[in-house]
Amino acid sequence: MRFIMDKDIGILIFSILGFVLYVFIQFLIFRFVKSEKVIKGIVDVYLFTGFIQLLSESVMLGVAPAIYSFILYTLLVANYIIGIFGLVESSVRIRILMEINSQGRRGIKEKEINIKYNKKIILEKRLKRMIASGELKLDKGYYQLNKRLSFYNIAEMFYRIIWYLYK
Amino acid sequence: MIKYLFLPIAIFITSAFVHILVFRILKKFKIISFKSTAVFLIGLVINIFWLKFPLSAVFLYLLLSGIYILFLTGPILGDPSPSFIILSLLRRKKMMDKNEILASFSDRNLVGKRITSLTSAKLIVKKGHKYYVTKRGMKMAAIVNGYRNIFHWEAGG
Repeated sequence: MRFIMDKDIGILIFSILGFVLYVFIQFLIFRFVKSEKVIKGIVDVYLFTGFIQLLSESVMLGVAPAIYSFILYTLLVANYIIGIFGLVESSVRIRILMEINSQGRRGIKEKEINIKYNKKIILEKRLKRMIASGELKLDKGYYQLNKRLSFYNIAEMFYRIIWYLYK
Repeated sequence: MIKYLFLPIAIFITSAFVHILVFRILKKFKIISFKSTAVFLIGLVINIFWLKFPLSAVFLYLLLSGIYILFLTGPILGDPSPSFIILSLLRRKKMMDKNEILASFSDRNLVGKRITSLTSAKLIVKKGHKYYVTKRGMKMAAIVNGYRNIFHWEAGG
C-alpha cells in the first residue's frame, strides 16, 4: 500500500509523459500517413511510445509502477483518439459542420450538402480505411470480416454492449 | 497496487450501472441528456474524499469514465457510427458487396440526422431553406481546421 503512495506522482508523470510523447510523434509522422492508413499508424505509435514508457519507468521506478503507468497511458491515448483525433478525422457531424462553414454567409441547402457529402462518400471512405487497416478484406467484389482481434473489433464490441444496455 | 487498480475499476463499474439505471428511468420520461453522466461525479467524490485514493487511482477512474462517456454519445445522440454498423452487418451476413452495404444506409440517417443534432447543439442554424454556421460553430470549425492543418490533411469525415 505504501508502495503506490510513494510512487504516486512518478506513476502519474510517466503516464502523462508517455502520452505527450505519443501526441508529439503523431504530429511528426501523421503528416506523411495517408488518411486511410491512419488506424495502423495509431496502433504503431501507441505500441512504440508505450514500449519506451514501460522500459524507462521499469528501470527508474520498478516494473509494477511501470505497468500501472502503462494502463493510464493506454487510457489517455484511447480518450484522445476517440474524443479528439477520431472526432476531427472521421466524424460525419464535424465534416458537415465544415461543409456549412466553408459556404460562409452564402449558406447551404440540405440538398447541396448531400451532393458534396453523402452516404456513398461516407461509406466508401470507411470501407477503404477498414481494408487498409486489415479489418475487412475484399474478395471478388465482396467485403468480409478478417477474423482477428483488432482496434476496431474491440471498439465495436464495446459499442454494441453499450447500445444493448442503453436501448 | 492491486487494491488501487481494482477498487477504482469497481467504483467505475458501479457508477456505470447506476448510470444505466438513471438513463433508462429518464428515457421513460423522454428525457435523454448528457447531464445524466453527472452520476460519474459521485464515484469521483467517493474516490477522492471518502477512500482518499492516491492521485493515480483517481486518474484511472477519471480516464475510464471519460472513455465510457465518449462511447455513450452514440446511444445518447441516437446515431451509431457508420463503421460499427458496417462491421455489425458483415458479422451477421458474412459477406456483402458495396451496393448491398450502400443500400443498408440512407442519406437521411447518415447526414440528415446529424444536421438536426448540429442545429440542436446550436453549431448551425437554419434560415429559410439554408443552413449557416453560428458563432459557436465558427469557433469549433476554426479549432478543427487548426488541428487538421498540423497533419496537412484535407477534409475529414
